[in-house]
Amino acid sequence: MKQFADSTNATFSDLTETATLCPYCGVGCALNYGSDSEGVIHYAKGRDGASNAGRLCVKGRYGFDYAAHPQRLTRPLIRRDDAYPRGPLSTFSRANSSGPRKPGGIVDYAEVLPHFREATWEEALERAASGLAKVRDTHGAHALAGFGSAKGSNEEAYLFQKFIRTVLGTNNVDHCTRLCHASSVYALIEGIGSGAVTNVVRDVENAEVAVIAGCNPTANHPVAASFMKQAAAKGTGLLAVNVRRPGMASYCEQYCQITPGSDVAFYNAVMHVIIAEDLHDQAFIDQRTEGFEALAKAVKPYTPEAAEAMTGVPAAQITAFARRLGQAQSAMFFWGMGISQHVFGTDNARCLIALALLTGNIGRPGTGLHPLRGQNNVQGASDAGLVPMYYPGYQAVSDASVRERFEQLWNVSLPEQPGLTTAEITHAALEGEIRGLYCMGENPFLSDPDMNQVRKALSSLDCLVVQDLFITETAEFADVILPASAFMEKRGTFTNTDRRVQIGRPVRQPPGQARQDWHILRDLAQRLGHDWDYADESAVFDEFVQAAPLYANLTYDRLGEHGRWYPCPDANSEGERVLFGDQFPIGRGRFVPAELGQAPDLPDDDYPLVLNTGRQLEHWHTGVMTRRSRALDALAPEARVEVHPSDAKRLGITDGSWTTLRSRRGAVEVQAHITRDVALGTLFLPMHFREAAANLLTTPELDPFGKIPQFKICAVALAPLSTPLTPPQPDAVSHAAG
Amino acid sequence: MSDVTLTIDGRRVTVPEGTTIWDAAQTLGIDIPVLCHDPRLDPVGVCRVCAVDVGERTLPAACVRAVSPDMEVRTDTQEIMAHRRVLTELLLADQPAVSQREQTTGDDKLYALAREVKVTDIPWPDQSERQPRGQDASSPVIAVDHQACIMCDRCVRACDDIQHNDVITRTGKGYSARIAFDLDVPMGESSCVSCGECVAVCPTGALTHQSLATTDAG
Amino acid sequence: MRLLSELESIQASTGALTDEALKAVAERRGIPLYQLQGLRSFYPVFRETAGAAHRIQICRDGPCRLHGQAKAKALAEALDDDSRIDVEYVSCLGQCDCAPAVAIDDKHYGTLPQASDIDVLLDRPNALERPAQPLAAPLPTDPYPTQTQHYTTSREWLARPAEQVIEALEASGLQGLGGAAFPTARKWSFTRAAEGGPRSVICNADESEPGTFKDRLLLEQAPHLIIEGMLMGAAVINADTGIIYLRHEYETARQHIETALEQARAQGVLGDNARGPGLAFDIELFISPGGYILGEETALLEALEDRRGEPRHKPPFPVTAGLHGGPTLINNVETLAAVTTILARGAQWWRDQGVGDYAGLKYFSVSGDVEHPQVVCLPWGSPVTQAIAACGGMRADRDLLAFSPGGASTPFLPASAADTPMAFETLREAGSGLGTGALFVVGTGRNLADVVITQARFFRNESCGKCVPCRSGSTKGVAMAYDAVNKGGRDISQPLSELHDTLMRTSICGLGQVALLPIVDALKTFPDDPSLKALQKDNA
Repeated sequence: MKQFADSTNATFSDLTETATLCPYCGVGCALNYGSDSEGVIHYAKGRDGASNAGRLCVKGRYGFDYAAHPQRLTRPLIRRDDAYPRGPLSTFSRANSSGPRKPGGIVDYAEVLPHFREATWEEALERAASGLAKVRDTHGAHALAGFGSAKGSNEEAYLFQKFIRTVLGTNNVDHCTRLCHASSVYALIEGIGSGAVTNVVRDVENAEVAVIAGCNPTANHPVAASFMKQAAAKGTGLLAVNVRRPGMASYCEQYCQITPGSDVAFYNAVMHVIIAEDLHDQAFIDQRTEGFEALAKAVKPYTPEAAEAMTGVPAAQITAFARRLGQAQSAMFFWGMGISQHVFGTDNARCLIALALLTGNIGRPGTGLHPLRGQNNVQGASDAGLVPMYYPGYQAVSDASVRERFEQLWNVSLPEQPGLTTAEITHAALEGEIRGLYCMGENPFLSDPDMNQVRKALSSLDCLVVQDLFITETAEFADVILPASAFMEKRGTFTNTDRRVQIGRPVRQPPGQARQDWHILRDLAQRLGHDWDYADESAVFDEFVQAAPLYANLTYDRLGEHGRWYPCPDANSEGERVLFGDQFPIGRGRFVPAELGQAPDLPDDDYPLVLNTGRQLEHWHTGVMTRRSRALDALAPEARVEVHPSDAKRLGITDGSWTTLRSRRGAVEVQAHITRDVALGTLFLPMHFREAAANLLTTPELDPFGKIPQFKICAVALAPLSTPLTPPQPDAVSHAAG
Repeated sequence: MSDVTLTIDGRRVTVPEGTTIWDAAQTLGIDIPVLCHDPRLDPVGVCRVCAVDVGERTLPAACVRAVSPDMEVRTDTQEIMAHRRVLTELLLADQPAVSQREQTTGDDKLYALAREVKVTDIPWPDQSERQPRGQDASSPVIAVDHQACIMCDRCVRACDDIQHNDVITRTGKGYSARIAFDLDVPMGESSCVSCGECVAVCPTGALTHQSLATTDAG
Repeated sequence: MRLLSELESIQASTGALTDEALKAVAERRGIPLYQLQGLRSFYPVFRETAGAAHRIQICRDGPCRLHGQAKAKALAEALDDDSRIDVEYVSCLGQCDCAPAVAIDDKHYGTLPQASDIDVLLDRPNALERPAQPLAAPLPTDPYPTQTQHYTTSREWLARPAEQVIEALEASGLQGLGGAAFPTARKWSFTRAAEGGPRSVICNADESEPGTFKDRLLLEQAPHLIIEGMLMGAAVINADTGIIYLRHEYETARQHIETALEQARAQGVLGDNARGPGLAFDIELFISPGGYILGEETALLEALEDRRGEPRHKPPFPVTAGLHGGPTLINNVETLAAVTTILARGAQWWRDQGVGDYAGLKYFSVSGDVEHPQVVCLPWGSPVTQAIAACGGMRADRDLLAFSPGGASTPFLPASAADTPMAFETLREAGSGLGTGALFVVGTGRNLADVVITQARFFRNESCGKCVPCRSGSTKGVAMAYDAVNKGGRDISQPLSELHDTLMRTSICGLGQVALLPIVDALKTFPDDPSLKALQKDNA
C-alpha cells in the first residue's frame, strides 16, 4: 500500500518573504520576493497591491535574476589611458554593425573590459568629481548635463536633480520621460494643469467604454491589461485605435487600424461626428471648459469621409466609434507611445484631452485621462523634478518666485537659464556645447534616436561618468563607471502610473563594492563642497515632500506596505483615485485644437516602408535588465522585424529568414516575423536588441513642445539577406567614433 | 440586500445574503479546508474537500453554497472528517513520489491537507502506472506535471478569468481529463504569455516554476 | 447558430474537427482556442482526425455485454486489418432491444452482425437486423386515433387559465418519469412562479442509461404528444422558447421529430401565435454531441450554452435559474407525452389506468435475459413478473437470477422480489428504485459480479471528471473490483463501501453518487453469489 511521503523542502523553510514591488513597468505591481540568507531570490509572488491585486506578468514573475547576473559590476572602473580617444568598444556598438547575436552576452565584456581598470572608490569618485568640475570650470556649468533614470526611486531622482542643479549649477537634467510621455505631459499641463493621470487603471471596471489609443497594454502593461480585459468581459466596451494591431484588439468592440501619423485626423473626425450629432456634453463644456468654439471650428472640415482618406479607416467605422463614445455615460482614455512618440505627439495628446472634455469624461468614476506610464518610476521621477523645466512638484524653473523658494530650501543660488532636454543634450554635445555628462541608470546610446549621431555625441564629450549595474553600451564611452545598486538592493519610494506611491524594500546587498546610488550622489556632492547629510532614504523623501506640496501628507510610516495615492488630502486618506471632480488646477479645461501634421522622413521609392518601433512583452527598454534574466532571455532571445504577409511575399521574405532593414541613417540585419498585426506597408521592430538596434534607423526630429523624438515613423527599405554577416572579431578595435 | 443568520458548528453568525458558507465560516474563524477554492477566483466546488453537512441528502461544497436563513451547518462531524480524508487519499494516490511544489515554493496545499487530516496509508490503487498522465517541459519558465494535477480548475480560472490570457482549458473527460493549452499543444508552443498566474494559484506540483538555475541562457 | 451545432455540422461534413477547422472557427467567432479544445475533447461525437472511411461502434454496456461479448470480440478481431473500418467500443447506444447493438457510421443501428456480412451492410443503409417492435402508433397513451386530431387538446386547454392545467396534473398524480419522480404539477407551478427571463421549456430526450430505450419509442411513434406537452408547459410558464435535447444516436426519432415540428408549424401549433394571439412559441431540435452525463439536466443546460456538459451546483435549480439564467422547465419525454394524455383524457381516466391505487400507464424498457427485449406499456403497479411475461418470459435455459428495475443506477434485486409492483415507492422499499423504468433482467448462470462491475464501469466511463469523488473514486473503485476479480487479493467490500459513502455524499451530481452503488449493493444483496465472493475474499 502506498504511503504518504511528506516531502517538505528544508531549504524552503529558510526563505524570507519581503514585501516589495516589481522593478519593471509603471503599473507598479506589489510582490513578495522569497530570498535566502545569501540574497538569492527564489521566487516572486504577487501581493495584494492597489494596482495588481496579486497579479504579475512574465517580467515581474520571472525577470528578477538580473541583479545576480555574473556581469554585475563589483568595483569602480576607470578608462585606461590607452583607451582614448573615446569611442565604442564592443562590436555591436561600432558603426552599423548588426547581425546574429553572439551567444551569452549583452555587451561583450571580453571586448570591453580590457579597456578599463579597477579602481578604489576614492579614486573613482575623485576622478568623477574632478572631471565634472573641470568641465564646469572650463566651459561653464551649462556645458554639463545629467541623465537620471525613471528606474530609480523618488529619492534618487530627487537627489540627482538636486545634484545637477545645486552642485553642478545647471538645469540640464532630464530622463527617459522625454522619450516616452513628454508630449502627453505637455498637453495635459496645458489642457488641465496636471501631467499625471486623472484616474487609476482599475477604474476601467466602472467605465462604459474605454479608448485604448496608440498603446499595447498586453505587452507593455500586462497586468493593467488584465483589468481592461476583465472589464471588457463584464461589459465595458473597449475601443482600440492603433497602426499595429494590439493584443487587446481581440477583446475590443472595435479596433480601428489607422495609417501611421493620422491620429489627429481620426480624433478630429470623431469629434466632428460627436458635435454634428449633438453627442457632446454641453453642460460640462459650459461649466468646466473654455475654447469650445475654436475646437468646433477646427474639427468641422474633418468629416468622416475626409478622414477616411487620411486615416484609411472607413467613414462608417469612424462614425460608429464616435457614436459609441458619444453615447456612453462614462469613458476612460488610455494612451501610450503611439500617441506621444511623434513630432506631433503633443497634438495627438491634445486631441484625446479635447475628446474627454467634449464628452464630459473627466472627474467621475469610470472616466478620465490615463497616459500609461512606461517605467516603474517615470511618474515619480518627473514629480521629483528630474526634468529641465520643473523643480520637484512641477514648479516652473522659469518662475522667479519659485526659484527663490528653492534657493532658500536648498541654501544655494540656482541657475536661471532653462535646461536642455534629453535629445537636445545630445544635439548640443554634437555642437560642442555640452562637454560633460553624468549618466545614472540611463543608456542613451541604445534608447535615443539616430544612434550614429548619439555615438558621435558621446565620443565627443570631455567627461562621461556612468553609474549603473552593468557595462552598458553607453558605459563603453565612459571615463569612470560607478557600480550601483539594483532595485532589489535598495529602499525607496516609487510612484506608479496611477499616482500610487509605494515603498520598495531591499532583499539583498549590492554585490562586491557596488553601492547605493544615493550614497554615491551624496559623496560626490560632499566632494564638490556641498554639505549633504541625510539619515536615510525616508529623510530624503521628507525633504522631497517639503519641496513638492503635491506629495503632502505622505511619509514612509504612512505609506507602509500598501502605499497611497497622491494627492493625499490628509494623513488618514488613502489618497485620491479620481481627480478633478469639481475643477481643474488651471480652473477651466482648455480645448487646444490640432491640425493634421506631416511627419518627417516619410517613405519614397528608395525607402518605401514605414517602420514603427516599440517594446515587446518579455523585454524592457535597452535590455540591460531583461536580457540578463535567464527566463526572459530564453523566452525571447532575438529581435524580429514584423512584416505583413503581402509585403513579405512581394519581397521574397519568409518567416524567420534574415533581412536587411535600411533607413536613411543606418541599417540592421534582422530576422523576419510574418504577421497580420502590422498593416500593409508598415513594419515593427522592437527597441531592445543591440544587435538589431532600432535606433540605428530612427530619425532625430523632435516634437516642438514635448521635445520627444519621432520613434514611431521612419522610412525604411527591407530586403532579403541570403547569409547574415558575422560580426567582426574584437581584435580590430578602434576607439574612434564611427 | 438583507442579512441572513445561521448556525455554524453551533455558533450563530449573521452575514449578508448571498455569502457562501465558506466565507461565513471565515468570519467566525472557522477555516474549512479547500483545494480548489481561492478567494480571488469564482468558486467551482469541485474538490469537495470543503463539503459540509446542512442536513440534506448530500453534503454541499461550502465554497459554493450560499447561506440560507436558520441553516444549521456542521463542518467537523466524524462523517465529514472521514470523507475529507478519503478525498485527500484519492488525490494523493496518484501523486508523484516527490512534490515539485514542495521543492520550489514549498506550499503544496494537497500535502498540507494530508498532514492536517493525518494521512498515512493510502488504501486506493495508484492509477499512475495504468494511466500515466505525462509531463510537459516545453515552457522555459513553467514546468507542467499532469500527474500531480488534481483538476481543481484554479489555473483555468486564473488564466481565463483573472489574467484573461485565455490559454488553459480542461480537456478530455472523466479520469483522463487534464488541463491543456490552446488546442492541446505543448505549453511552450501555445499562446501562453508566461505570466505565471497559473503557477501562483496551483495547489500542487502540477504547475511549478522551472528552476531558473537550470534554464539555459542560450 | 449555436457553437456546438456549428461544430457538429463541421464534424458531420468533414469527419473531424481538425486544428485548422477550429482555428478558422475561433477567428470567425472571435473566441479563444482553449474553449474549442474543451468542447472537442469532451463530446464523444467530435474527433480530431477523420479516421477510416467507416466506423463500427459496438456497445460495451449491460445488456449488450451480457449477450454479445464473444461476438463483439470476434467481429473486432475480424475487422482488425480492414483499413476501411475503424472499430470501437462505446457506451450504451440506446438500442438494448437489439443487444448486442452496433452503430455503423453514426447512422445505422441494429444487432451486431457477422463479420462476413459487413461489406453488404456498408453499402446498404438500414440493413442491420433489428427485432420487431410490437408497440406502434397509435400508442396506448395516444388519445388521437388519427393524425388530423393531433393538437386538439391544447387548442382547448390554451383557452383555459394555466392554473387549471396545473390542477389537472396535480389530480393525475403525475411524477417525473426521467427517474427523479418529482411531482410534475409542482415543478410547473414553481417554474410559473419564478421571475425573470429568458423562459424556456426543454424536453430531455437524452436517455442514455444502459437498459433505457423507452423514450426512443415515444419520440419515434408519438412526437406530437411531446410537442403538445411542451406547448402546454410553455403556456403555463409563459415561455416562448422550446428545445428538444435529443441524443445523437436516435436518428429515426430525429427524422420523425423534424417532420412533426414542420407539421406543427404549418398548422400554427408552433409559431408566432402558438400560445394565443401574439404569444409565440417554437421548438428547436438540438442534437446532443454525446455523453450520458448530458441527460443530467444542468449538464444539458451547459451544453445548450456551448460549454462542456458538466453538471452545475444546485441550488439554484433550473426552475428558477436554468438556461441562460432564466426559469426553465425541463421534463422527460415520457412525462411531457403523459401531460398530453392526461389533459386529453382527464386526470380521472389516468388514475383509473393504474393497478389499484397506482395511477396511469408506464412504458418500460425491458432488456437482458428475456425472450423478446422490447418496450412494454403496463399499468402502474404491475409486478415485475408481468413485464417479463409481456416480453415472452425468460430466455430458454435460464431462470430469473436478478433484475435491476430502473436503469444502471438502481440496484439489482433477487428473483424473490419479482412480485414487487413496479412503482416508485414499492421498489424503493424493496431496496432498489423504479428509475426510468428500465428493467434489466439477468438469468441464472450469469456472472453477476461482471454484470454489476460493468454497470459501475459505465458510470466511470461517463463521469465528466468535474468533481474529485466521482472522477477519481469511480476509477479507483472499478479498478479495485477488477483487481479483486482478476488478481484476487484483499477483501474490498469494506473499503469499497467506505468509498461509495464518500461518492454518494460528496459528488456534485447523481452520476457520482451512484457510480459504485451497483457493486456495493450487490455485495450486500447477494452475499452468497459465487462470482461476487471474489470481491470479499482475503488473499485468494
